Amino acid sequence: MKKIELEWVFYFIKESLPYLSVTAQYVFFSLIFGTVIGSVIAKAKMSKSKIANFLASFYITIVRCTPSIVLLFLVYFGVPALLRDTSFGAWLNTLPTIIFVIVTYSIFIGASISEVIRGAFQVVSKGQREAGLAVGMNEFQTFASIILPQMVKAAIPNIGNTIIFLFKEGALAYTIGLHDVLGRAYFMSGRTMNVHALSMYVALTLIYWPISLLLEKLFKTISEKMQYVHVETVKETELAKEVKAA
Amino acid sequence: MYIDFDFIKNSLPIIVHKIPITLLLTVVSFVIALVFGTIFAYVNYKKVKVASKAIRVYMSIIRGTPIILQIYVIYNVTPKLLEGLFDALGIGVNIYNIDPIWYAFFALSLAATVSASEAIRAGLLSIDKGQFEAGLSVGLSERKVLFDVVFPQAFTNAFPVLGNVLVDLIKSTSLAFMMSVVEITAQAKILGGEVLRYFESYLCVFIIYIFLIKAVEIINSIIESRISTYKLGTAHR
Repeated sequence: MKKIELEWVFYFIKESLPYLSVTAQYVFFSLIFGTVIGSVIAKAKMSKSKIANFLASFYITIVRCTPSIVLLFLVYFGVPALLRDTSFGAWLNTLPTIIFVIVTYSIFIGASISEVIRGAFQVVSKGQREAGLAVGMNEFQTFASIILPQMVKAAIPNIGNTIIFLFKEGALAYTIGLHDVLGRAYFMSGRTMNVHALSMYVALTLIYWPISLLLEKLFKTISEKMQYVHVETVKETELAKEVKAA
Repeated sequence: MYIDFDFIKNSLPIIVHKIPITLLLTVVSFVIALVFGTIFAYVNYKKVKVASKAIRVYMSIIRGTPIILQIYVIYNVTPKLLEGLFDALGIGVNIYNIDPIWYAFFALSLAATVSASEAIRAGLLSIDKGQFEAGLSVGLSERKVLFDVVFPQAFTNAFPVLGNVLVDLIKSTSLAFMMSVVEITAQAKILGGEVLRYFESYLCVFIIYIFLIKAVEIINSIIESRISTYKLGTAHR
């Protein structure tokens, strides 16, 4: 292994940076599907039905107790191997690797997102829904225009953490041969017989570290921006001004 | 489509046999993480000039990079460094005879140190400065105040988060197969690869992990309820 050479660091950055789009793809789609799964689980956890409640808790426990790499292997190697005699199994084998990555991480973060949603839902007081219904809005309108915005606000920091988690943990997809940022860098390093591996590590650190920091900063700013003034307090101050003027 | 139960029956004991390796990886890395995490947390808490800046940077790098990258760096770079060091010092030890588990301890404790240090720092911050001063004013030495007054309370407060660090660590030990340490995941990979029974072998580790981590979580919650007695003093404030 040679020493760190600046030109090779640049070479690896130049080669693997375009594959950030692959990373972005699985982060984005896992987040979307994870949110769908998470919503269903949260709904089940909050429902009165005992069976739904049990199933949701079961799902969360199982997923929380599994290393993501074991789940990744189970989805990528296990399921197609189990179904290899069926036509569905044959079809699975033709799918691109990224699909398996997205499925795995959707299942994985579905559990944590369900907790985030549940927490965010509890932030919004019950009276608000009742108030919305009382002024003649229907159930959907109340949810979409009153409860959801407040839930989003409460969930933003956790969503940010989930995205950063996905961004870093998704690099494990390299072990099943996906060419994302890390996979591409390793592939290119393999072509040069890993002589410049040290430069590659530096390049990867220089890609992952700033982006993580940037994401952290971004979500911090967003959640700060969303700390808007509460309606009541605005009205009170206006009222106070009027009183003073009078 | 069928599940080969004979395969599961035969391979489960072999995989279970590797649980001690997983536990060894976890415990040693956790102890390393606790020791360094405490030191880092204390340095950060005291705001030592250069050291706390350096630790900040270290923590930021570790938190900002994927663990798989850290593992590869440790596994591929440290032997070279050690080789140079041993050559310089004239120690006649062949670097390539070192058990890879040592690298695994090192690599796994890197990330755990950061999260442990964060937890302990939060624990330290939850202790009132007045306790420090009170201890010093009754004539205890600074070391005594630290170890007899501040740390017990700080660790009690940090315990739930430290429990999560432990659980995360158990999960990360599944990555040790990349450093050719044969623990349960690696064993399942080997067994499944022999006869292409991937589903069954990964199902085995899947179940083992669930039991293992659930057990640790239950133990954690028992200890947590036990030590919450020591928390009374802080809870009153």
